[in-house]
Amino acid sequence: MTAPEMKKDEELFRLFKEETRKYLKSGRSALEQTRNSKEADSKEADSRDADSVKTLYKSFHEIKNMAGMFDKKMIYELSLRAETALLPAVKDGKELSKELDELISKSLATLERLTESL
Amino acid sequence: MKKILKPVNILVVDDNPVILKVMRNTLEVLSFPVGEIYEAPDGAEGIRIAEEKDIDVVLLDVNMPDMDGEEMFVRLKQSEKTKDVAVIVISGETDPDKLNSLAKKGLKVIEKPFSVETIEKAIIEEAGKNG
Repeated sequence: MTAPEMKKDEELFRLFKEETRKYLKSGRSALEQTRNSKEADSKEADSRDADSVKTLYKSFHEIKNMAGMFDKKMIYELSLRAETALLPAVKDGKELSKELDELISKSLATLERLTESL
Repeated sequence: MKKILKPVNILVVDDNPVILKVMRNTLEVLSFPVGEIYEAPDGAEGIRIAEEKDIDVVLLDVNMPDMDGEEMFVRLKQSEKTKDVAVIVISGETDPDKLNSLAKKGLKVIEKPFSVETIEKAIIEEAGKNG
């Protein structure tokens, strides 16, 4: 099955949009959690922060994989960039820098717009 | 390349419902006979199905919560019931350390997005190893 054939499968395409929205929502919520953890400053907050960064990474990873299947190049490229940018933070358990937080926030906003325009 | 005559029973393990559906659509148009197609949304369910059913090939995602694909692969190989099942990793993994670790285990890795031809070739090669 090729990408154009999959686009013709309306039910599958609807599911793709639905799942992308879910991952974007989960990503937004995880980003918010990392901001709250920074303010809390405790071991428990650090652990929550590491989990939230993993959730963020997973959101972009899944959106990228789905977009690739449907040949949605802009969504694919943007998710890939965000996923790649997050990888060091996932592996080292580091909190998000201000610059990375901004990049992720902007990426989520753009992906939300792109998804709604599908 | 070997020819497959007996229907191949395939288990797909992926926590993303869209990918599961795309995989099923792909498997339904392969040029050789596909028997049963089973789906599991996580590693634990995947192991349960692999142990209960007569599975020839597992198509396995890597990045899954609770038990990732690499851990599921190790568990499959540790079990007498499933140690001979062919496993193909289907992944959008970009972490070079993770990809190296999969390669060291001798796993066949197919990148997402994949084509029908790539999946077909990999299944023929891997299923063919077990006769």
